[in-house]
Amino acid sequence: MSLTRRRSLGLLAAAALLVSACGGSATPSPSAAPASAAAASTAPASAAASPSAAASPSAAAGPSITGTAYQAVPVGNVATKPLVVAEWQSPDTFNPYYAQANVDIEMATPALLGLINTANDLKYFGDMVTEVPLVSNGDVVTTGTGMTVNYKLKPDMKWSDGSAITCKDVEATWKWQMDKDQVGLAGGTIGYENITAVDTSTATNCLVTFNAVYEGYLGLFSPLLPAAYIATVPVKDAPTKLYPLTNLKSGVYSGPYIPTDYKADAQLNYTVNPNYLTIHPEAKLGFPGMIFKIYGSADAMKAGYDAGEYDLGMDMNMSDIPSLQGKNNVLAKDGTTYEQLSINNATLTKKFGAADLTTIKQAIALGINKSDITGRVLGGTVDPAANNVSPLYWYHVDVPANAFDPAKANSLLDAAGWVAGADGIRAKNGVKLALNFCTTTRAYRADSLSVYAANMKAIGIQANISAPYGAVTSTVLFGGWDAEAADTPCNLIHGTYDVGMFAWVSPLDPLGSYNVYTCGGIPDAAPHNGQNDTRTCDPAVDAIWNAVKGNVDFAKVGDAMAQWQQYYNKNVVEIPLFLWKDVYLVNPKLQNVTGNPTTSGVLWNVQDWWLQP
Amino acid sequence: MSRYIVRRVIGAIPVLFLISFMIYGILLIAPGGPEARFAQNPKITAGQIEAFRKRWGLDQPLPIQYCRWLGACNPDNTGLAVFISDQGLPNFLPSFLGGGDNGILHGDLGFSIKDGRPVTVVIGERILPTFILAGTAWVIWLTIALLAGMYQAVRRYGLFDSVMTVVSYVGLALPTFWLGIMLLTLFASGLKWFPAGGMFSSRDVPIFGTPEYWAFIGQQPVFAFVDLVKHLVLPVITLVAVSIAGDSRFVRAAMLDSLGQDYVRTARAKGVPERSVVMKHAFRNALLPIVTNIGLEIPFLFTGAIVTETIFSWPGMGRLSIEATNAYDYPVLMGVLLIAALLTVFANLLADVLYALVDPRISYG
Repeated sequence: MSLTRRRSLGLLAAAALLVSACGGSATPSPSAAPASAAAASTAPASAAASPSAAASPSAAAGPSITGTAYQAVPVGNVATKPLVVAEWQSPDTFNPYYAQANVDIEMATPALLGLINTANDLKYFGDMVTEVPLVSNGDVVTTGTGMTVNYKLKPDMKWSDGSAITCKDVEATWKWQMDKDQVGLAGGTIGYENITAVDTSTATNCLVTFNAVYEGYLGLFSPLLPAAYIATVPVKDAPTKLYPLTNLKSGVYSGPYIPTDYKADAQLNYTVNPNYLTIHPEAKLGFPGMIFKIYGSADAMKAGYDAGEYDLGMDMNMSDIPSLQGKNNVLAKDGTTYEQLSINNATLTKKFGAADLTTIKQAIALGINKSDITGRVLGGTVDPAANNVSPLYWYHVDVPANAFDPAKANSLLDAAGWVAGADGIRAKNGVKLALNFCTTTRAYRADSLSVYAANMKAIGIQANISAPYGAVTSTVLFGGWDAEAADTPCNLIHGTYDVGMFAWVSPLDPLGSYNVYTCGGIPDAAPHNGQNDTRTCDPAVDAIWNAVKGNVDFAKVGDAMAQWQQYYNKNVVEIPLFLWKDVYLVNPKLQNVTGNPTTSGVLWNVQDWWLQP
Repeated sequence: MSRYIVRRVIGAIPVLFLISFMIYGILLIAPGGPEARFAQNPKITAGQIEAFRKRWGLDQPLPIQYCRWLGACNPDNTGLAVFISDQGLPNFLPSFLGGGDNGILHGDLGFSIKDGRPVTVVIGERILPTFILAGTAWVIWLTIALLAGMYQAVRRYGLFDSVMTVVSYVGLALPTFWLGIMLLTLFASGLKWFPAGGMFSSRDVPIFGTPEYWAFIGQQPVFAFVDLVKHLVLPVITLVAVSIAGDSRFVRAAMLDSLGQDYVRTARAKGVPERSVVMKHAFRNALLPIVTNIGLEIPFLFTGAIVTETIFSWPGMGRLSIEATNAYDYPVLMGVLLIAALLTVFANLLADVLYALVDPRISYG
């Protein structure tokens, strides 16, 4: 019997940033702290073989965040030719800490492991540790304002070069990121900057001391880097010389497949890591190697599937589904990216006054018919969403949705004194109820604008959807503070919009959204890198998020997130429209492909894949 | 002739300088920039962005950035010393004469911001794939255009002329991306006759350009050649279909003009065989404008076809251009554009030189 175990690149904080940005549109995503979160200590699949397999005693007490139900089909055949997976974007780097696009994470996933990972059902498990550190199992201890976390490494693990994996690697990974010469870390140093010491007195009990309670500790050290190897490259040169694309063989790895050759815009080859079995002794790889084939476009990749050129095609979403009709074995899974209407509190307050702000937002939410977007514009490939938190997340709660109800929207506006004029548009105190809608030129977004205009007109709101508003380039909508002039219409960070349609990633670690909804995240203040483009600022909201931030008791985090989700819908922070789909083309003979909505991605369990003869 | 060539080469220097200046200016005033990747990422502090800008020299005034890229300024110095090399002499001089070693004046195109590799390496690995694709297509469409154009002119208004005229205009009118996708859909997706993309079969052939690939060619030359040809078919058809019209119409017009000249009539009156009239008297004289046209197509052999290479996943210069543009990879983009400009100037010069070779009446002495 094959007792396989999942692995994958756990989440790198900023990875969430990348998912949407690389889905073919320049969509930003939330700050994304390490996309990990809670804890527990069960390993997936063949848990019996692992010391981490026993169910965590805490699991019953707190939220269900561990104990995955994933069970791999045992490898029944070892192919003679390598596994071929296809992408249509090229990597910028092989080092996930510098990742700028989702493809960078994808390509590193087979080669580099994190301490803790997330299974396809979003349960946490130890990839390189014997158990997921938790308060309940004594591995996490709060000490006044700080805490210690004991990451217990599996014994006798080895890097691809044969050297031992020890706590010195944990320490080195931390110090490497905090080095003064470090430039360009996609996830910044959040979390790592709270670490004050890593105890390396033993090889496998890595006691990490934090000077603050940091809820995102499960996402740290994803991936773990080899101390000896990173010491060979000066930190200032690391972006180009550590795991260089020109010489990937020089790197040291931990995953099942390790890179050998790379040709830009063409292909990346991997071979089997001879020491992977020291980390997962029960594993049996189904391929002698792996190939990442890079196509020039999604259309070419789809054609390549028909021609039998690869086993798995990735990086597609719901908008690709119509063009995949008739293709064999299309796998469409709910993702964690959600399309939304983002409402700018600042401009609405300025135009219509603070007193009516919530009423107007509620009217907009009730007046938008999401089914028109999901059904008419997107052809029923997705379903309307009630919440921006993926139903797969452990802290998701069902909250009353703002269902389409134009009559109620009209009555709310009537009661607030907004009176329709001869043109049907409401006004109050001489101010017309007109909103500037903005989105990108992506087809389904541009097509949605006329739906919004019709929906809004039905409740007496004028939706401005023509230039300079309406569909603008991604560069304008998502342009940075310095890149766009302060008065450029439809720029999110400058807040020159009323309602914006775009996608966002809802991170598994709730802390990843901290900067999106708290007052301190409003980007108007220098250095203008906050993500709170809706300019949401409410002390009650800050209190909720601070409760999330300062807790490692995931029951309490869950409570705070439940409060937040109630607030989110009631106060119409945003109008969630639908969850994106992660779409894959899968060779029908390829086994154990499950998808994974986190940035661990579909390759999270690539070590379990095999091809039926 | 050599004096003429030297004069033209010297004359090209200010042209290239002006082109480089314009390209640099246009790129840098475009919205966004390499650091746009950090926009709205709260985990990246202003200090980190500043460090990134400093690392790539983006914190310097634009004239200094350009001067460094050109190689007239020393990136390690500041103030007026920026013009002085580490050897104490003007930086623009060749390094063996005491100048610097950075910038295009010294053959250094910088490093790719996208993946950190030297631009010369990034561009270098794309030239051969582009040359294979563009060269194959060019030879085919040129051969067809010459033969068809000549025959059309000789058999003016005949059936072949009419059919070729229609075919030419249809080809000219076809958008490259549409034709490419149609070919992919029909011959790769549908009939499965040809691969959908790339320039080698991933499962069976080592990565093109690696030592393993060249060793593989040595071991299985026929298999490797057939594999390459199979990957060439669709993109070459695309390029030929959309490019043949221009040249064939050009040849036809030049030949018609030549066939109507007095010397052709005289040759025929003297009883010269028709084949000689066409090939020796008419075609030789028609070559002048054709050579100019062909000369101007030479840069294409190295700069590639952006749309075709992207659709067919061909890892060439055209695809590199679009990738660099999307990634705000200024050094690579500048390198590609500069090479294109250089080749265009060179191609013009070459065409002028070929003039003299095909027409003895022309002398540059």
